[in-house]
Amino acid sequence: MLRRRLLYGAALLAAGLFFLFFSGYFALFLLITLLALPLISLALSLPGALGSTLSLSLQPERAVRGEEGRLLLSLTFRSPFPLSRFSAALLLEHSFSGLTRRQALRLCPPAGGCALEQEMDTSRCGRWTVRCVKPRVCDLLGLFSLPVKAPPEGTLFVLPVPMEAGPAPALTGARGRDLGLKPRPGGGPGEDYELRPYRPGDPMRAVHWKLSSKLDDLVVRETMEPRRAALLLTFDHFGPPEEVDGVLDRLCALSRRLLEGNLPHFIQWVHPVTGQLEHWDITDEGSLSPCLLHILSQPAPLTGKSILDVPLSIPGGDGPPRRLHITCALWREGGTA
Amino acid sequence: MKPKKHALLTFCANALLLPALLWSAVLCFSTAFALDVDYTVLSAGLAVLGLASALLFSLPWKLRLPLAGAALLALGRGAWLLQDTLFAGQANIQCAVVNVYANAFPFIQRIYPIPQLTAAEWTRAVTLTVLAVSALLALFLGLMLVTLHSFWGTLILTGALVVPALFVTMTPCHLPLMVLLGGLCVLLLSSLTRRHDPAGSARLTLAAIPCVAGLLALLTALLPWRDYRQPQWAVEARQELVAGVSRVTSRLDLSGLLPGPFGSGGFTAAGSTSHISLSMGGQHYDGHTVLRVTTDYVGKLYLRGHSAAVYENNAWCPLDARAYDGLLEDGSFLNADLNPINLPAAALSGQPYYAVEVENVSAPGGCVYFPYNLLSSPSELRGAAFLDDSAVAQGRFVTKHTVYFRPNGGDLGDRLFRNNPSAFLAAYNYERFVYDNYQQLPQGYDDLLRPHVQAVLKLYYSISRFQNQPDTAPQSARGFLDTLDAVVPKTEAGDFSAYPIEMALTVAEYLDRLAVYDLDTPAVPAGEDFALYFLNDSHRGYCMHFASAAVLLLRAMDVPARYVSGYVTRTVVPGTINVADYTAHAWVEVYVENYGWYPVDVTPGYQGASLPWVEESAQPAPTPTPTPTPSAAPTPSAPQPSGAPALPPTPTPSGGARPNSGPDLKRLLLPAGIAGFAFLLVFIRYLAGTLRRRRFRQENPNRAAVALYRYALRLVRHGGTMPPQTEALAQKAAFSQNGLSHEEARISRTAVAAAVEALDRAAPWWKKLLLRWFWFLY
Repeated sequence: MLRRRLLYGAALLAAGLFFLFFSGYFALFLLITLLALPLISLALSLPGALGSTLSLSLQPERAVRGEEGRLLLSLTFRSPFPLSRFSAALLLEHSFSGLTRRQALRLCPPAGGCALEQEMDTSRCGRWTVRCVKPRVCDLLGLFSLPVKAPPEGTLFVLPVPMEAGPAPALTGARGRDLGLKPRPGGGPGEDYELRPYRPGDPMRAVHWKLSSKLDDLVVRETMEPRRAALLLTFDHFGPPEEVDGVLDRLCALSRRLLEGNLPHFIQWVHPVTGQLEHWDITDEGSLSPCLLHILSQPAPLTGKSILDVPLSIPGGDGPPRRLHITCALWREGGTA
Repeated sequence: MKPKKHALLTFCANALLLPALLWSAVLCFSTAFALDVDYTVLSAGLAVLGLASALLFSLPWKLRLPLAGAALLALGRGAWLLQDTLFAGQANIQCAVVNVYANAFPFIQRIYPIPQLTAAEWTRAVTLTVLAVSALLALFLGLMLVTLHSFWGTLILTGALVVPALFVTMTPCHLPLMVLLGGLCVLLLSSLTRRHDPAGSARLTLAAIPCVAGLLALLTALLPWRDYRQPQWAVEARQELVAGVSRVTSRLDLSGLLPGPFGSGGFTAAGSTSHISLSMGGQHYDGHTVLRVTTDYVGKLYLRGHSAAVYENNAWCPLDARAYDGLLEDGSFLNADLNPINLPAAALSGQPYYAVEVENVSAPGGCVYFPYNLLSSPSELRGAAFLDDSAVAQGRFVTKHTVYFRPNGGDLGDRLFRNNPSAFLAAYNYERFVYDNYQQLPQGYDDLLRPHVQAVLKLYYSISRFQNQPDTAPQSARGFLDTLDAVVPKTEAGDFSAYPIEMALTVAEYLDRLAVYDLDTPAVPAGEDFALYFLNDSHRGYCMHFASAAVLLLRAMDVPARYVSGYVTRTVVPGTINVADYTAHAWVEVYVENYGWYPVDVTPGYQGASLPWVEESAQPAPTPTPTPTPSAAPTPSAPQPSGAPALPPTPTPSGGARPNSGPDLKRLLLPAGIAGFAFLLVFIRYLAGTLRRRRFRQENPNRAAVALYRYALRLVRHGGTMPPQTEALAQKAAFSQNGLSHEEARISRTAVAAAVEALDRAAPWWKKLLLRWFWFLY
């Protein structure tokens, strides 16, 4: 467009000099025509420019790693005339690598509109965020640049590859996850219970009146419930890309395996940049999905703070958790079982 | 069906545009050069050719090439069969074009076609020839427009037929010119879209045609194109522009460096222009040549440029061109081949005349500088034309003119208008015009000049009473008496036609006594009137001051007068002399009834035969052979005594122009420019390298790593490779919590240096130059 403006300026200057040095009427006609031409160009371009709509979509929104992902940018306008040029910039950001790529676009939209389709790189897990910035259309002479409303940003999640889970590691222990009994908060009916002396504050309905009458002392019947160990899956959200992808594949496979066995669990990792502990309670498939999306939205640099360096803590947990730190070596020949 | 519909739409648009462009371009050429063609046959033929070309180039490639080949063969065959007719047509067209140029440039000879044909045969021949050439043009236009979608190619093909005519100010017929302009505008509007959307572009073309046509129709209806005159402000703007360029090029003195009018002091400020600003200060000259004059005449020569009639806002301007309506047409009186400038020479018929060749080397004003009294009439001028009654305008790119003049002012009693009835009638009509237009003064000036007018009259009466008894005159008056006696032409008793000359000389004497000549007179203070300030306050000035004041005083005394500028020089032997810029001068013309404009020099120091400087010797050269005018006397006689305009013979000039030599810049310009550019390159490279090193070695290793990464990206853009360590370390620097150590930053630096080295080794020599001295990468 700069070139066109410079050319127009030069033409106008030449016409001006021609008008000064040529005594005939043609010089005046030429000068006025050159001055009026951009207005005619605008008049013919405005219907298309003002009525244009830009849309950006990424398909599918969630693609498995290695699957085809496509970006579709389409410009539509209701005008029988083409536009001379559409220009914009696509900003593509990948969450894991932190890579930001700026792609300049220059299209020549025919009458009705045009579309741009391009493949997205799904070779790595993560989240692609695509924004279209500074979309503009030019008039027929390429002198004026008219803004177009930018579409909302598009997102593409590249999910881990579903893999066959190997044998579940010994997370449950010899007694399973059972670690004995503990008083149930709030009492209530139950098969297991314990008798103990009355303590101030115990509700009257918990008093075992029959035994109390025999012992001449108040005896409370306390309902017990099994103490279960928390299942914790941890991983490091950094490392070489292949390793991070492998870790996520295994994490998802194991998590699903546990859910199939009706074993709710927790997933923890350390935010690679802030160092904050991230904790997710996975009770079903519905809670695994947002956790996965959250994982994919965070950066995964080459190095970072390992969760193994952070003390174990499960908010509201029962006793020591049973933890498995997932690495690429899981289910690999020569790796951990 | 849709592609077929699109193809039809595209064809319709091309079928409209191509024939229109072809027809308009060819007709512009034909009408501009006044070709003898049958316009009906030509228009029909062009329409057919245009449509055929549009159809041909709309066909698929497989059909297009053989058909185009067949068309060319048919054209060649037809040309072979009709070669005699086409040859005659070509000769006629060539003559028409050359003769139009001959009218504009006197060094081009007119030519005439050799074949002897009847008028009908000529028309047929020319029409056929134009059609034959147009067939070829149609093919090229089709290629440019339909196949290549090239606006510039089309512009060049069509413009090539119009520009040669415009170059010599021959405007083609209005309709084809507007069609051509409109067609090119429509093409320009659709040029960006033709390639990627032919169908949409075709719709655009069809929509743009009425818009552009409407605009041009509106302009045709609203603007007075038939009797168009360039606006005064445009003329003034052009003058200002040329004067501005003159000032710049004069100071730079680009002689020897640039050819043509740009070199040898191509534009200079010293000289004559139609609009004269009186707001300047002291005058400075450098002595470069402005004119080259060759003549047999020996004596003082006043080379007249422009005259000005209207004094306002400290400037002299010519009369509005409309004032001459009904009096002059194309510089000539309506009933006589004469211009008012010719009247003195016509009045003095029978007096000897001389030829003079004036070559404009670098004088401004766009006029021919001619001596008094110009004999060459409007029809006899070549490469020049009279500009109303004020000047002779120079033809474009014509720098040499040969004119004839009668140097001897003679006695006004010798006027022979009575034997030239048309000249007499022209002079009679012109007199009324002169009295209506050349006595005007700005409002209030009558009162402001009254004291000076009274003083002049008093001076005149105090001296003129001694005219019959000069011996009784006081000493102080004797000089002036001698001037009056020697200079004022003798007239018969009762003929007061010499009165204007006497008054002009008296005003000159008065101003000589009132003011001093000073070339360094500063500009008139803001708010002051130029002439009044000179007369009332400063009493110092140079020729422009004296001439302006004299004209206003004479007008206040009811004497028609005007301001004239040009050059004054003197030839000592027949031959060629170089006229320098310091000879620029201003003087006065007064109107004498039954004679014309009579020049009077009112500036002290220019009187008599002397000039305030020493001229260079003339180079003897063969005298140009004069072409006798219809009423001219035979063979010019021997050189006459000086017959220059009326000059009071006051001895010893009081001042003179001092040629100054300005700084000779041209020798320093080029090497200084090269050295400066080279220094700039070295400096930028050094600065870029220093800043780069500073960024890479900064205290913060994270920032250094990111800077190294960005630099590596620039290398990649120019063909380098991204070192993996640099990328990895940059990511760590950007995202990790701990960041990098200095050692890691050093590793990244080393990797980038290796990448730079690899790029430099792999790049060819020209790329290395670019990378180092254009992109300043390393």
